[in-house]
Amino acid sequence: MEFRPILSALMRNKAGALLIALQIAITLAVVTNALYILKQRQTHINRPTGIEATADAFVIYTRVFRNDINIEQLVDDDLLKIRALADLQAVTPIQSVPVSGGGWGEDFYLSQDQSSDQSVGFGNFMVNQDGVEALGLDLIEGRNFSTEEITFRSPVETVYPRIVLISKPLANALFPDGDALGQLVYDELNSPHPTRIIGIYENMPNAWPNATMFENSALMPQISASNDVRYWIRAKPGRRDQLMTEVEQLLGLDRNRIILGNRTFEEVKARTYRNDIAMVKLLSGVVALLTMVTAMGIIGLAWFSVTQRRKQIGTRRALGAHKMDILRYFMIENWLITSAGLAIGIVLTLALNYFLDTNFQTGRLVWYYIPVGMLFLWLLGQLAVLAPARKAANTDPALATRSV
Amino acid sequence: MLKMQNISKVYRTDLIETYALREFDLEVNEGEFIAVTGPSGSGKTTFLNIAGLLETFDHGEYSLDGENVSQLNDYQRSRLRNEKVGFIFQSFNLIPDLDLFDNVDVPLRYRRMSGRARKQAIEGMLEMVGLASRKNYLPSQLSGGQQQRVAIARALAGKPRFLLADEPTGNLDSLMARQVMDLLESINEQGTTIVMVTHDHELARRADRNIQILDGQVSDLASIYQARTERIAAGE
Repeated sequence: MEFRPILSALMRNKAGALLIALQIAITLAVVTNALYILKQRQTHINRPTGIEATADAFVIYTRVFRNDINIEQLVDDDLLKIRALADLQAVTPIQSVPVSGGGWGEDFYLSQDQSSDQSVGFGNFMVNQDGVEALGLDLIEGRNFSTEEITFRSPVETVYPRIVLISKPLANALFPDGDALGQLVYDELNSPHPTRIIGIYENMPNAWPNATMFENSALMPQISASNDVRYWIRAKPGRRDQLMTEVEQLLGLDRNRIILGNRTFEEVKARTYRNDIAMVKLLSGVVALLTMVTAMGIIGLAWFSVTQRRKQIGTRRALGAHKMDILRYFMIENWLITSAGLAIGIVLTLALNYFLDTNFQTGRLVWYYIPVGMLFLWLLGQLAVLAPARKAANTDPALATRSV
Repeated sequence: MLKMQNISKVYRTDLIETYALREFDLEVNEGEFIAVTGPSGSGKTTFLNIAGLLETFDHGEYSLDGENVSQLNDYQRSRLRNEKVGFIFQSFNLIPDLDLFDNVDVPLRYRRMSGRARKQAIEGMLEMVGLASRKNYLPSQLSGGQQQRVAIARALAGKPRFLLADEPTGNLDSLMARQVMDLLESINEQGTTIVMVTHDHELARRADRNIQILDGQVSDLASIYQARTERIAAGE
C-alpha cells in the first residue's frame, strides 16, 4: 500500500487536510456525546410505566365551581353514567396522574418510632376498586380493593387509609427481604394508624419522571372529595378517541362544573417529557447537520484536490496507474485524514464528556460510543470521497501530454 | 517494436469532424531512435498519445512489441503502458509533493514491485542521471534540467523497451537540452527504442530517423526536408 508517499504528500500540503481533520475531530466529539445524551434521553422517555392501558387510557379533568355541591354524590353519579357507556373498559377517580409531572408525594414509615430520615417516599394515587384494571396494572401479590373498602377523603385529611397496594420497587425499598405483603407501614412518626399492605403490583411510576424514587408508587382506596374531580378512564381496545368525546359530552351536561380538558395518557407523557423530546430533536438535528457539514467538507476538499491535481492524475495514469489505483489513492488519502482527525477527536470527545458530566451531570460516556463513532466517520469519509475519487479515476491519461 | 497501419483518429463535435491522424502508417524497429517533427496541429501529440496508449484510435491496426493493442481494455492498456512504455514530458510532470525518490517510485508501485527491488531500481536510476545525492529533494528545489533528468530516471526505472519523449528539451536552455539529449542517446545506445517528438531540427538531426507529420499523415516532405538539411550540413 502507498501509505508513506500519500502521507508525505499530505504533510507537504497540509492546510486543507488539517482543517478537515479538525472538523472530523469536532464531529466525533460532538456526535458521540450528543448521541450518548440522546440515547439517555430516549431511555428516560421510554422507561416502562407498567401501565398496560397506555394506548387506551385518558384522563378527564373537571372542576366543580359551586361549593354547595356534594362531591361524593357527584362522583357516584358520574361513575354510574360513565359505566353505562358501551366503549368503557374501566373507570376510576384519581387525584393525580402518573408521569404527569405533578402529584402527591408522601412517605411511609416502617415503625412508629422510626426517625424521619429513614422514611421511604412514594407517589400517592387515590383510586377505587377499578383502579387496578383501569390503569392496567399487574397485581403480582395479594388482592385488590373491594367496593366496600373505598372511602372519600377530604382535602384536609392526612391520615392514610388502613389498607394499601404498593409497587414492587416500593415494596423492595420498604422490605428488602421480599416479605412486604401483609406488613404494616405508618403515615407519620408516632402514628396510631398503621396501614397494611394488602397487595403488590409489578410497576407503576409516580408523577415525577426526574425523581430518584420514580418507581415508588402506592394506590390508596380513596376518592378525593375536592372540587377538582378527575377520572382515569380506560376504553375498550381501539375505542379511546370515541369514548373521550362521549365522556366529555356527558360530563359537560352538568352545569355546576367546567371541563378543564382531557388528555390521553400518551399526551400526558409527551407533555411531561416535552423538554426531553425537544432535546432529542435538537440533538438529532445537530448530529445530522454536523454530519452533513463534515461530509460536505470532505467532498469539497476532495473535489478541490481532484481539480487541482488533474494533470498529476493524468501523469499517474500515463505512468501505468489503473483507474482502481487512482480511486484507492484518494480513498487512502481520505482515510489518513479521517484517522488523524479521529485521533484528535478521541481526546476532544473525552474532554467534552468530562466537561458535560462535571457541569451538567450527563454521565460518563460508555466506551463503545467512541469506536462506533469512529467507524461511522470512517465510513462517512469513504462514502463522501467516493464521487470525487471516481471522477479522478476517470481522468484521461492523455492529460499528461496536454498543457493544462 | 511499433507498427501502425492505416491509423485514423477523428475528433468529433456536433458540427465538424477533425482528422488528427489520417491513414497513418509507421513502423519503428527495436533499438531505433526516431525524431518526429511537424508544425503545431499536425498530429504529433495525437500520434504520441496513441503510440503510448494514452488515447484510442478509430481505425487501423497498432501493435506494440508484437501485441495488438486495438482490442485492449483500459486495465490492459494501463498495464502494458506501465510495463513497456516510458514517458518523458515537455514540462517534466513530476509530482510536486513527492521527493525525487518517490517520484521515480510512482510507476514501480503501479507495477506492484517489492520494496527492495523498487529501492534498488530507483537508486540505480538516480545514480545514472547524477541525482542520487538529492533523492530527498522536492522537484521545486531543482533546476529544469535536473527535473527532466529525474523524469528520465522515472521513465526508465521500470526498464521499458520503448521510450516516448514529448518535447523533452522544450523547456530547457540549450546547454541543459544538450545534456538531456546526450542522456537520451546514451539510453538508446543501451538498447531502448526512443520516439521523440520535437520542434528542434537540430535535435531531430541527432536521431537515427526523422519522421515529419503533416495534416495527420507521415509526410513525403520529410525525406525532402531531410535531404535539404543534409545538403546544408554538407555546405553544398
